[in-house]
Amino acid sequence: MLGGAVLGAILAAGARVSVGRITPDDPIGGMVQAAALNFLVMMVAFGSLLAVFMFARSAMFVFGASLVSGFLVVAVVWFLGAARTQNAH
Amino acid sequence: MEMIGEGVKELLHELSVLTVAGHKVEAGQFVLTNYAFFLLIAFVVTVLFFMIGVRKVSLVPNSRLGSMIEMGVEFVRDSLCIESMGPEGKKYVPFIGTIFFYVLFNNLIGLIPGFKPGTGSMGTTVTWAVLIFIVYNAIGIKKHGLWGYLKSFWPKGVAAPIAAFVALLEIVSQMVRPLTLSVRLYANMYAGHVVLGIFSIFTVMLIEASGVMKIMAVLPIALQVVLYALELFVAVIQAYIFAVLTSVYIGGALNTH
Repeated sequence: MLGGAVLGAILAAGARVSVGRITPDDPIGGMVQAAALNFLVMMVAFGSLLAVFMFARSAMFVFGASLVSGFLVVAVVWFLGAARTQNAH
Repeated sequence: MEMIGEGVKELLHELSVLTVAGHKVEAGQFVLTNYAFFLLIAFVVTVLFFMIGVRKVSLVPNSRLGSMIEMGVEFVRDSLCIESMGPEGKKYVPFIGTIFFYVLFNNLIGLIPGFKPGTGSMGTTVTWAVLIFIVYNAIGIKKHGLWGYLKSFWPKGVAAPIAAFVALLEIVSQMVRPLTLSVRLYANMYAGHVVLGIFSIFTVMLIEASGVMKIMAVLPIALQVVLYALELFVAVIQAYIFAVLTSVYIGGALNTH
């Protein structure tokens, strides 16, 4: 269960880093890089689910649910961070 | 194999009743379905998103989320309302904005594994489309009066038989609008959800097969990732189409010729 949650959190971090590649200097190139990295993130997620399905099928539901939960918890934390008021300098 | 059959049955059963610990969630004659449940989830998420985002409103947004929400609202105001209805459109920003963001959140929530899009149920989209039909006709009648609004269906400057035919076509096209508006959104979201589910089931079938077929499971997994990206695009586009058509219908009712 913990493994799924940790992996979900790592994948959320990966998705966040990939989106950070989109900059005003090179928006198109950044988009391509972000898309490629997110594709990789998705493949890792599907691959891990596949591995659990093949080798520990009984743990599939718990692993999948914790993977999604871990991802969403990190996403919500970032969302709340983005909502925080920033002081103008 | 039996599990796969059950999976397909569940996938195609649009209005499965939601059960919590083996019990139906019901109030009198109303039973909560899976889709209705996720519709409520999307409602809560949409409200929370905007409540958190606009907690401390200032002329210049002072948070990243605030800036994002301002961009979204500006998009609704400029690209959806003013573009379709002219300056009068500003009045309808709350209505169109609510439609756009609620449909968007519903569509996006359906992409989370295990979740369903609230818009993937025909009952939901038909209700919204009928409501929109009533609203835009009421707006037209309020602005032009009942007779003036009805007269707008009759084209000017053409022979009476042609005008009658055009008026008939116009009335039919008006009557069909709730159906087209609702089926477009429902079919896209439901079909997308089913396609993703079918590919998952297909993957399971290949893994459970023997020999080379097991290795072939990599293909549907890769395709699943591509389909997810496509569904993400469809989720945003369908929300935009639903909102832009609503704006166009209201614009048509406001600016009759």
